[in-house]
Amino acid sequence: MKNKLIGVIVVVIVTAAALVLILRKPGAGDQDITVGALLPLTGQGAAYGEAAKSGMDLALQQVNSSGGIDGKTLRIIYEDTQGDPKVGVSAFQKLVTVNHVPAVLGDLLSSVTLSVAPIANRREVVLLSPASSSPKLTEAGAYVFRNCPSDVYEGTVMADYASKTLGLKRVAILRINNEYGVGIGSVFKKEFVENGGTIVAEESYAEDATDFRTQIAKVAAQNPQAIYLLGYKQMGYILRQASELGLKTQFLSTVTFEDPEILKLAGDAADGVIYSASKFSPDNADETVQRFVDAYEAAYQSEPNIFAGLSYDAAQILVIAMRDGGTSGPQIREALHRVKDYPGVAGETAIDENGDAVLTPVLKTVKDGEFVFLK
Amino acid sequence: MITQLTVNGIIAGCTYALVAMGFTIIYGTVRFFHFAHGAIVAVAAYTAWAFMAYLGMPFAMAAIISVVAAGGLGVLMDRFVYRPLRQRKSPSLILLLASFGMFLVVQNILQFVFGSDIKMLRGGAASEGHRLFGAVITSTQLWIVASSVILAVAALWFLRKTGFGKSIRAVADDQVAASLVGINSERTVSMAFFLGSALAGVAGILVALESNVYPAMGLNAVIKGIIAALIGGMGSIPGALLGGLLIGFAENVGVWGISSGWKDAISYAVLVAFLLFRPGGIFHTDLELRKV
Repeated sequence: MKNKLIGVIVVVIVTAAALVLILRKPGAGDQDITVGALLPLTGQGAAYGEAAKSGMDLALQQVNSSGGIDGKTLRIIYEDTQGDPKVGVSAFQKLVTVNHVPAVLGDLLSSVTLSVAPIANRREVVLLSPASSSPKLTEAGAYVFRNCPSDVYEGTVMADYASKTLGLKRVAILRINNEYGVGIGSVFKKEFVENGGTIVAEESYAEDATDFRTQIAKVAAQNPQAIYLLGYKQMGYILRQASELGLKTQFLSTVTFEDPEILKLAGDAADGVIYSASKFSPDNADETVQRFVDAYEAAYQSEPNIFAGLSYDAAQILVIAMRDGGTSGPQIREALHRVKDYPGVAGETAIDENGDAVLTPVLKTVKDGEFVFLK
Repeated sequence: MITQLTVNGIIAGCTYALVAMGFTIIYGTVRFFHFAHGAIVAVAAYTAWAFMAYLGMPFAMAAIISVVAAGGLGVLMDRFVYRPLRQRKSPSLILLLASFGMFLVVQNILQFVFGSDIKMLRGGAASEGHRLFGAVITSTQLWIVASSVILAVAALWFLRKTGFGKSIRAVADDQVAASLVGINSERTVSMAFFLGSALAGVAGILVALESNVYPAMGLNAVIKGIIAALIGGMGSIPGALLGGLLIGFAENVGVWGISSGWKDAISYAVLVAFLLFRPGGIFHTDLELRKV
């Protein structure tokens, strides 16, 4: 009986404490403006999420040291999505209902961004993704924005390069089985077939797979002239396993390939892979890029990657819109459409009428274990 | 291509089999699903990595220490979580939940301590494997196949011929009767946990050699291990080996004519087919599931 009483008391105290925490105003003074960020900080996409967070933090620091937003300090509340749409949705709900944010930066993964999009529209909260490139985002609603190009551009650019520049006729697709892989794979396929080529095989793998030998064997059996490889860091294993299986084919890939971890996993099997990427590169001599790289290296003692760059840009673009239009969701939405010629580290960025960024990708390759522009 | 798919299937199957063998030994003794078995797979891989990366140990030494550590962790889990629950006569559902909880706790600790990025046991350049009847197999993969077969034989010998092995089987048959004839059943259960977990440790290290080390690696390993053990017949070592090989083969060769996105679905389909038509598994053991 006594034990039961103690149990009841504990439950009451814990519930009360939780209620106080939930009902309390977000722990900020009136002088603060709080926005949210949804990022995959753990799981398969963790490396991208961490880089993105570093980029956003850097932008935040610069914005606040140069007067904030009309004198108010900007804060970002980070939520981990684990790269999982379900987790992303509940994290977004939390940001909107508990923290009352007018805008959220993220997610990086298209699957997560797309799951969150309907709620963003309903709650009139701006969702600005630094890296979700699914073509479906174009139509995802009035409050959904991004500052990276849609896969439509990347898939088309690569398909044209494969058929027109390399003169390839037979290409296979080896893709991750998610929104990203399906989206960009179909854009590539459509353009490549229109150019007169044939997709000789299309194989997919699960997001958490680590053994790809069977997929590789099936693709290799069709003797493709090149393989369009879509995925995240598991592309490193795929290249290693393909090379162990003795497959010597040109691999083509996308912006997600630009991850040092892939080079580590693949070793020299990554050499010669051609991929489409953003103009951003730490060794780009451009002044805006160099200013960003210097600041980033000073803050984190490491070189920024494309996700850090795009996320930095996303935060800056959001700030421009808030300074220009105001800090409510609808005001930010209006002002984002007016963003033109923003000198971003990922290139000059404009937001079009669908909320998409206008930025054309370039082609890069791996040479002696380094990411370099394709000459 | 079919030979390559078969080889891929055998290799995948061997790692499943190693996990399944450990799982089945433990299940046979204590009769519940030791889900945290998967966490031990990951712990062994991380331990090996840490000894190599931080202390510069040679691979063989790091591997041996990690296998022993894996066995030790299994014993600790039994001693501090399962044994108190057993003594309270908790139903096996509670033990399964406790096991599930431990799995998640260990996985999160790994993620917290080591971060979620991928660690590599085997660096350097990727070299082309050996050609064998038109298929390609790497040296690491030959090791995987050899160790699985040797360990299966060794485990079988241990259980059948040694005193400890016999007491494990006696406790598995009837715990009360075993203690009546003077077998220390708690010590025997500890031994089963050590042996089973050490096998999981070997699997962890071999999987890590094949496809590197990451916190979630235990989940896939234990799920495939459980499927293999069920298909083989719970409690049967040769069954675990055959079950592992069977699902490895089925999921790799099964996608020959269909899209490879179906790989995992095939292993589950095989499991369902077995549960429906041969619930006792290949080696129709009498440890049926309704006792769980």
